Amino acid sequence: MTKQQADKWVLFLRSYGPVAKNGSMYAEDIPELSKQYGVAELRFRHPAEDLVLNAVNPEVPSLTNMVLTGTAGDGKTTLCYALWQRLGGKVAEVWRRPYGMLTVNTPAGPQTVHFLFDLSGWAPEKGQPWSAHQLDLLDRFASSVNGTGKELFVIAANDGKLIQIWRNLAELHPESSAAKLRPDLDRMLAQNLGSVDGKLLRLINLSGTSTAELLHLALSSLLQRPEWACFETLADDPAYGSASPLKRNWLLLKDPLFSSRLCTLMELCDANGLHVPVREIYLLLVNVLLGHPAVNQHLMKAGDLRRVVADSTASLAAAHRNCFGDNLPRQKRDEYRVFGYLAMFRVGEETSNDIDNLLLFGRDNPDLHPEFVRLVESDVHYTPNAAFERLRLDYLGAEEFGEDHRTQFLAELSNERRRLFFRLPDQDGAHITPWQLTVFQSAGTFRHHVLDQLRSGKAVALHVVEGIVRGLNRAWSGMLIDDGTHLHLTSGLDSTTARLSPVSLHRVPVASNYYGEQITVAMGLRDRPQLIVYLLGQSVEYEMTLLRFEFLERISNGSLPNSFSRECYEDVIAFKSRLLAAWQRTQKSDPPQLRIVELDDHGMPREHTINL
Amino acid sequence: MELATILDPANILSRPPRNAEGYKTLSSWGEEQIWGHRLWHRQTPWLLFLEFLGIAEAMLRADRLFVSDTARSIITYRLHQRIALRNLLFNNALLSRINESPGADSVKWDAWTKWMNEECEPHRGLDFGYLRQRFAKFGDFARTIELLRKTVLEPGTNRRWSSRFLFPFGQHALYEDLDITGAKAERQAINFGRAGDLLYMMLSRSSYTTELRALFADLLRLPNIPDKMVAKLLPPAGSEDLSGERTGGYLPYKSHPAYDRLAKDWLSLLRLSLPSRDAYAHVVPLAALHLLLYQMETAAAWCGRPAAPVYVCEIIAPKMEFVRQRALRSYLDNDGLPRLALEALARITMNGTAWDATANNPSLITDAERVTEAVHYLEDVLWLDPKEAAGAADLQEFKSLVLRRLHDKLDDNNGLLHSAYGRHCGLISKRGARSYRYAPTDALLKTLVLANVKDRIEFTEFLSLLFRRYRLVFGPVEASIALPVEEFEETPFRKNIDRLEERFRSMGLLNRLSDGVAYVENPFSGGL
Repeated sequence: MTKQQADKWVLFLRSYGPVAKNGSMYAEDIPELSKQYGVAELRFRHPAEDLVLNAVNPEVPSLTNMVLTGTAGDGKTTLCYALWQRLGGKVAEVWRRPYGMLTVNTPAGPQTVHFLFDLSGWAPEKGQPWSAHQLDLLDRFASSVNGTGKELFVIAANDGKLIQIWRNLAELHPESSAAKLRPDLDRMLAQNLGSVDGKLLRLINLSGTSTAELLHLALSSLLQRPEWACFETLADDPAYGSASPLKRNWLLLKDPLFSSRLCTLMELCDANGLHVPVREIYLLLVNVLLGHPAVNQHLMKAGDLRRVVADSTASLAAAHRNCFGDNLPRQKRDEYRVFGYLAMFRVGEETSNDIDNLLLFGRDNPDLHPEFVRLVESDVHYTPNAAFERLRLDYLGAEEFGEDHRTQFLAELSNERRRLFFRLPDQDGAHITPWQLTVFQSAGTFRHHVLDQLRSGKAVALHVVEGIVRGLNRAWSGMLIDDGTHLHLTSGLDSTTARLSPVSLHRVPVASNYYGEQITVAMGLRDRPQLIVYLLGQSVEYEMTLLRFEFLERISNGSLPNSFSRECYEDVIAFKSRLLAAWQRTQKSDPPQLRIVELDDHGMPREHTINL
Repeated sequence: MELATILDPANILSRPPRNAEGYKTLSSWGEEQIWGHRLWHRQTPWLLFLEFLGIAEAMLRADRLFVSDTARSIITYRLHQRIALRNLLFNNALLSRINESPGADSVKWDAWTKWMNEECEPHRGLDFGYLRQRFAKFGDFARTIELLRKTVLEPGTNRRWSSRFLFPFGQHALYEDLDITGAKAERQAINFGRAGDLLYMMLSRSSYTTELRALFADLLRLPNIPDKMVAKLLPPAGSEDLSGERTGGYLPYKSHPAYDRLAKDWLSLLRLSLPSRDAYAHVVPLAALHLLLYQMETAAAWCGRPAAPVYVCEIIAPKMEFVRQRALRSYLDNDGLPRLALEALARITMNGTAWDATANNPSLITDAERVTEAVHYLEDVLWLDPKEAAGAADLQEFKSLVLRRLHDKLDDNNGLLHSAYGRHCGLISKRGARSYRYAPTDALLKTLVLANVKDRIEFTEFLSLLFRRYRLVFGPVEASIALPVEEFEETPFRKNIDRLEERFRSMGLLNRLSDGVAYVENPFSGGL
């Protein structure tokens, strides 16, 4: 591999990063750059590819229309081209065109398939009139969806654009049959339904794909590239030698501990209902490799690599900084959802005494030193951070430690914590875990005891469910109930959601009772865990996101409901309202007694009855 | 309905007789002519609702709930006084001491009954001995009182004991406001200032009376645990204490856009799948919002404006910026509207044929004669106290004197209502800034979603709905319609709705798909 080839590779990679480009034409721009640089595109087989290809399969007798939707950058256009090719079309024929049409042979005879590769590029702009041809085509789409048409349609659009266009259509042509599809489209999108009864329509939402899986695939596709041979053949070039930040970051990405921690972060995003599109995943990975705060557009080219090695600022390009977009100005960082999601974890801004002791005193304190060596110094990628080391010594020794000094020290300390975050083993029950460095202190428990269990088809352990239930009991009653074996449905006399709710209405056991009442955690829609309360013949579900789990865990462990987040509190109270409404439906008449919950010395609820 | 048609003479009811109870002491008939008798700025949303509910209960008892009779300008009703209940709850200082004292239950009952029979105000010889048979233990009785006391409304306020109110569980928990001192118990208009009457009549004149009747009959009559607890404290049947015949408030307009808007919102809220009476938490503040809208819309009609005013709402931004300036401006503009309406009324009254025929009659020679005629005329049409208009040298001076009197009264009540009700319902606030402006609270935003969204609605469509129904302006589309070109900028309003979207999302009321589409969702519509 020549230096020139390697430099081009870096330049090509950089175009995937957070640099200025025409975002909406991404799928079309990258192939051209690829041709220009003579470097193959970064690519992996999308997990939904088979789903898309099989959705419109001429060999299957019952053909259906398809709407392919997702976030910008999820790969809709690419998948549409793949389908177009599979049905016999050539990509060159439709390149950069929003519409194409072909005929396929089916067992029932030849059939026309219309492709709208980019609905928003095809439909009129807001405020512009619809042409008769456009209206006619969408009306034919509607007929086909309603089972009366003879043609098929494949439509790709971001879900936002899809709704905007249909809203616009409904305003200008409310009587068109296309406009009347709006309620069904709304329902399918909002409730994430793949199909609805009576409609020949398949909706595939690429935003439903697991981000963790996409990251995993993107990472392998990136790391397996032959171009990385540059580190072997050009080892003497500072851009690719052992001091190169690119090489170090590449080695880190290859390090199973680092990459699996990154995947876990994405897995937890999934569990919070947050999705990152493919484009931003590559953007993140390229930013990890090439980010640097002090170069043009904050991403290094080969020349920058040589320079930062020469002027010893390579440590500013550390992966644990780039990963959170530290190299980018705030405004730039805010443009990308991936950095917003990662910032939500507040990695390095939270900590525990054990971890800070290790970072501050571990090097010198004989008691801490063994653990310091094991967790910090043994890191093969570890290079001492001179700036932090200086500040640390100042902090420990200096008599005067001014405000500026202090701010710098805290910033560097937080960076060291971030580095450690990617380094600490995630062992259940260990006294130091990476999650102590995040706002989601219970993320480890959530992963090990909820996600992993459910994915391997096992039940969530009773004590975990009881922890959730205890949290709910405390938030709902306003009392420090120490019972997780039953969910106590309590109410205030006036409002059922009163902060102090001592009136006992009903209780549901965690373990099933004679009436089939019980509480479980199971996998729900889109592989997301949910808490299910089976209550007198009904079931009420509550999606168990990481955020909700964290909140309930904290309350369960003694925090006050409002100390973590008022919003979470409101959310948990809204669940109470839904559950009480379900309970109320089962009540034919009022009970003859009023039962008031009081706590005994052990925090166990005791009921006091007043006859009415 | 066109705004101007509100003032069509055929749409305006004749005013009540001047000697009707509650109308005798009025200082003038200015504000009343415009907004009715009366909007009362010191009435909090809960007091509004309680006053309304008390009337609804009385009308249900009389089998006339929400029956509108525009042949009569005011209604009459008899309210519960519940002297025993309010003494038990709020004038019962010895209860906990007796309960905690050692000794047998019978001793406690004896001591407490003797004490209460003497202490009860007004002293009407009520014997509280009936309670002994109703409770198995004295402790249960004490606990019942204690639990009910915790549901007292607006506990932070410093009201006398006879003006404290229970949460309205049902018919037994309702009673009128009384000033009880010693042997006297008199009706008061400080807490219940008749705005609840207006609310009742607005609903009676809406197109939804049938649905409302069914809902409120259930809310008032269906037994429920706390209402049974209250009932258990009431004296035996037969000793029912009803007030004398009370006259209701006067609402001038037979029809008004505010009536259906209020009725529809209340119906939507009461039909949600919220448990028990949880919907009240939304119904109550919304009552204040609707009265505010009624006041503003009516004022705009009197000022001859083609449309109701708009309310530019800031979703609180970290610093002073464009939308806040517009919100401040919009607040100040609207705050002055009642004054302009009153001036319009004065102008109409002291001009035109009737005026020319009396005060300006060419047969009158001296200024003094003209002023005397004017005083008589206004005493008749504006119920003006002649003493208040005395001393004017000529008609010009007389007119400004009258205007000053009207202003004075406005400054004490209707001029304060917009700000007071706005703050009560969460539309107006000073949060994050130095002055009042429209900056809706999370609670009000949530209420608006619950009242207006069936299942789900696309976010921008929701914004346009809020503008259509309430004239609330949040985003650029509505602002570009509502504001003059020179006062409009796209970007700050776009940021404003970005913040609104974030508020909704954090309250669990918004489902964001991607790239610019989000649905506002009502978690309590329909099933689970």
